[in-house]
Amino acid sequence: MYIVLMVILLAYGVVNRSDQIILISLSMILLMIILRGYVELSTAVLTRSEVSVERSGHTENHDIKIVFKIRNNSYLPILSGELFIEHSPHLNRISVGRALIFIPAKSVVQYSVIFRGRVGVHRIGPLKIVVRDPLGLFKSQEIILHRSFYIKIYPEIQHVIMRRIYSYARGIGFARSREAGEGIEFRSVRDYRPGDDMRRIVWKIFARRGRLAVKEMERESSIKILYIIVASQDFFRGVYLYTPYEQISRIIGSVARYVARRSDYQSIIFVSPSGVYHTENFLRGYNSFIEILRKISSANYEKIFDEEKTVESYNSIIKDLLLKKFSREKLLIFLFTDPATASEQYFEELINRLKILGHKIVVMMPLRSLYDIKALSDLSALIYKIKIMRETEREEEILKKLRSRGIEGIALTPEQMIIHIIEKIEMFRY
Amino acid sequence: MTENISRKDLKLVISGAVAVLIFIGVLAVLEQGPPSSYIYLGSSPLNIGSLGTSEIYMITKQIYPKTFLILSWSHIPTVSCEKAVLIMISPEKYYSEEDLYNIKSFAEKCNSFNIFIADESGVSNQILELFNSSLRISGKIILSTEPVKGSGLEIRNISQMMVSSLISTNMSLYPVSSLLYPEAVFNISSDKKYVVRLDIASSIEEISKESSYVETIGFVEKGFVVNNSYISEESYVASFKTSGEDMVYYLIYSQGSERYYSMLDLMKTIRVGVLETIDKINILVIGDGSLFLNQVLRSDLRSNYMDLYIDLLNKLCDKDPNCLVIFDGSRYNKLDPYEIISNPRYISLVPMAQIIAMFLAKLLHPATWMPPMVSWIDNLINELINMSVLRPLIILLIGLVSSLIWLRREISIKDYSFREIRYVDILNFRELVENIRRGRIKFDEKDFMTLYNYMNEIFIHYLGVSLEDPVLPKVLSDYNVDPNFVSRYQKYMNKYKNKIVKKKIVDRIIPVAWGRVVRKAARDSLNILEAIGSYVKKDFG
Repeated sequence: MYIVLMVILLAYGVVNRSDQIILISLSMILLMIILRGYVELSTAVLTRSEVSVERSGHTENHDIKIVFKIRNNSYLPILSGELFIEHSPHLNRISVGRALIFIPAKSVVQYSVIFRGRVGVHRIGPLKIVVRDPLGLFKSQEIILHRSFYIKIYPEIQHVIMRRIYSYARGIGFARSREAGEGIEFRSVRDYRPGDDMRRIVWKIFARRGRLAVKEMERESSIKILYIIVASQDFFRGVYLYTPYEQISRIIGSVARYVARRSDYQSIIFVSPSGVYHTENFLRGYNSFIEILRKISSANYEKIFDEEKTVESYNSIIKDLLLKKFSREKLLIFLFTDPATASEQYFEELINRLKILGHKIVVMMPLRSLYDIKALSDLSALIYKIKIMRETEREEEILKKLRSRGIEGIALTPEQMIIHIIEKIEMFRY
Repeated sequence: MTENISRKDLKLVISGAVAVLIFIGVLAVLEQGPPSSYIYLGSSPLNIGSLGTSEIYMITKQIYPKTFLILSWSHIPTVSCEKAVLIMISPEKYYSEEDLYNIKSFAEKCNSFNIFIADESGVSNQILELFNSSLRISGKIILSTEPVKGSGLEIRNISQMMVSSLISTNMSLYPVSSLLYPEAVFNISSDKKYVVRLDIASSIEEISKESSYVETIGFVEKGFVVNNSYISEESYVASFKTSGEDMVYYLIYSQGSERYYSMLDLMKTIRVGVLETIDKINILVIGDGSLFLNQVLRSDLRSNYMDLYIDLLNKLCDKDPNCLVIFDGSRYNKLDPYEIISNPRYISLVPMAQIIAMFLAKLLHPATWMPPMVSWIDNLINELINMSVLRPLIILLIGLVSSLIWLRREISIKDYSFREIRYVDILNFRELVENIRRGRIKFDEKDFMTLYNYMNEIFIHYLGVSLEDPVLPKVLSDYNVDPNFVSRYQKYMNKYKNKIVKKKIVDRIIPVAWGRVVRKAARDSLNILEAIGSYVKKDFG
């Protein structure tokens, strides 16, 4: 419209032979061309600019700060750029997403965006910019300054609860079985028997009594724990930081930390609509804790809500993985799944089969009806509870049904359940 | 990230560049001048009409691939020339000195150069002279004797009246037009003989008999040779027997209003096909070009005439496939398509499709329409600008149109602000939560009972007393809850519970506002729960 008006003004000046009007209209058109050219140049400069990314914060419920450093290598200052960061809509941004920036020539500007961390893999970016001329007449197309990338956020270990657990359990270090066997803890001295390791002979006793005796060590009590999470979309629904998935990640993270310090073996199979993640073998030590954290944090929210996978599709995956993980030793299996999946015929058969093979299996089932309650204040929460009671009872019915068939089942509410699980582990040890 | 780009979306050259290139192309075509799209008449190889020789040209090209056409002797293609045959069929225009020089020069470049002339007009005598031939096409017309059957009367001076009277006697009288098609015999070799009918053929004369070998290969048995000028529609041949039983022939012709007659000499052999060899140059002269016209080769007699032509050509080319055959197409009249359309006389001579195609080609050529169009636009603009009323409007319009064209190239970007990505909890029971938040929830007696049972369970679990137990206020007073408040609460809860459980007649008649009741019960329950330290969000664990 501006251009059309200027052209009309120019035509008017030409018709009326008014030099002043012609001069004004030509000046305005020239100004417009300069501004348009500036936007084009700025676009070219920004397309060639260097953008680096720095990140701080890796755990949930903490600030995850992403810092973009935009370097203008040219002599042309970018007077007015409108920055905008896109990201996964499942990640809560606590800083502003838009920014108006000025990038001087041959300089670097910094743009940071802060998210409240939640467990999982999240898309950050692309970082876009739109350039305007100083008068705001022209605007460039969206320029992608930095392509999108993914960040992984790990669950937070519940240190307060962990301290309670350590005081409750037998302490840190190797678990003792009070049985003779391979180990590093001394148990007693007994007579030598053929086949005993020569290095264990107690030469002092031989010198004193004239007969061979060996040191007997206490067998270490290492158990194998397998976490199986079969997560449907319901696992990812709920209040920010209080979805079943996030709670289970927290529980497994904390339990894995405890198990690692107890030198037990552990492994994980995490089946989610965004993919299947599992450790290759049973691991022990700090490495096992890290690996389990990595696997449990692999769910990609955007993929989860993009497509729906049914229990049937998990069926063959779990069966294949379980066959790989099975060993002669008894396993303690924590199976996290939702009531809908647990009530499937396939799951019941799977649990029974695992029980027949001698494994101990504990089904941990989040009552999804209780997870939304976090979104409400006290009175509203009570009203919600009244209204949802029937749904809660229906979910509890499934648990009762499992228990009636001899399967140990625990209803998982939004509160922490770590102590219950530690109890199960310690009881399984003996 | 990869993007699927369809062929349609892929634009390698912008439309403006394409338009400029087209404009440059049009100018380049224009610079070449008007197109030379002519339609050839007569026996030209480029004439596809019935009087043309395009058929014979195509036949020659099939037999001798090195056949080409010359439209101007000034532009002779550079070709190697071992053995060549120059073919001329009924040329209509005389050669210039330059043309003759060029022909001679070209012939000298060839190791073997032969000439095939089929002509009845005598135009090609220039070529015969050029190559020192002793032969000439006389230009005199050969008449047949066949249709003539006379009565033997001798007439010396004939007048219209006499002719009329003679017709009634035993004299035979034939119009000349019926005698113009004598039969000729061509002996190509001892075992090959063709009998063909000529069409206005000319006899061939031999002017000298020096240093050449002449062989007659075609002749007409019995006929007359008459001057071309005597032949008209009002010419007749009268024949009658003399006293000696010999036939006497007279030609009766008109000149002006007068009618004349002359005695005709009956010739027993008239030469119409002669092969002469001069200094290794073979010159084949046929006294009739009509033998090789399209109308003959498209008739039922095609094979006879075609075989004769091929045998004659083979005689000159010695069946050498590398023989260079040159058709002289330069000696014919040509007309512009406009001239043909404007003159109906020519329309019947040329196929209509050819006329239309040539006309369209001429019409579409930029040289036809562009200069007048530019001139017209120029005049129009000048006229419009000179009109004082319209001048401002025109300037404004030009300015607007040019600015709009410029603006159209600009990509229009809607000026919207970026949409902020806001996190929204994805809840299992979103609708219920939303309704509770907005206070749009409705309650009934079942909800009251749910609350009652829930509170009852809590009291039993935490305090060891039920909601109906009278000691409840006292127990709760240990938790700093006002006993009076608890009593009222207990009474309220049990009262409405009994309304549901016992269902008295009064309760059935008077409706209960359960919404209000449940809300009040919930508020009071919450106060007590907070006092005893049980949190709503923490149980069932």
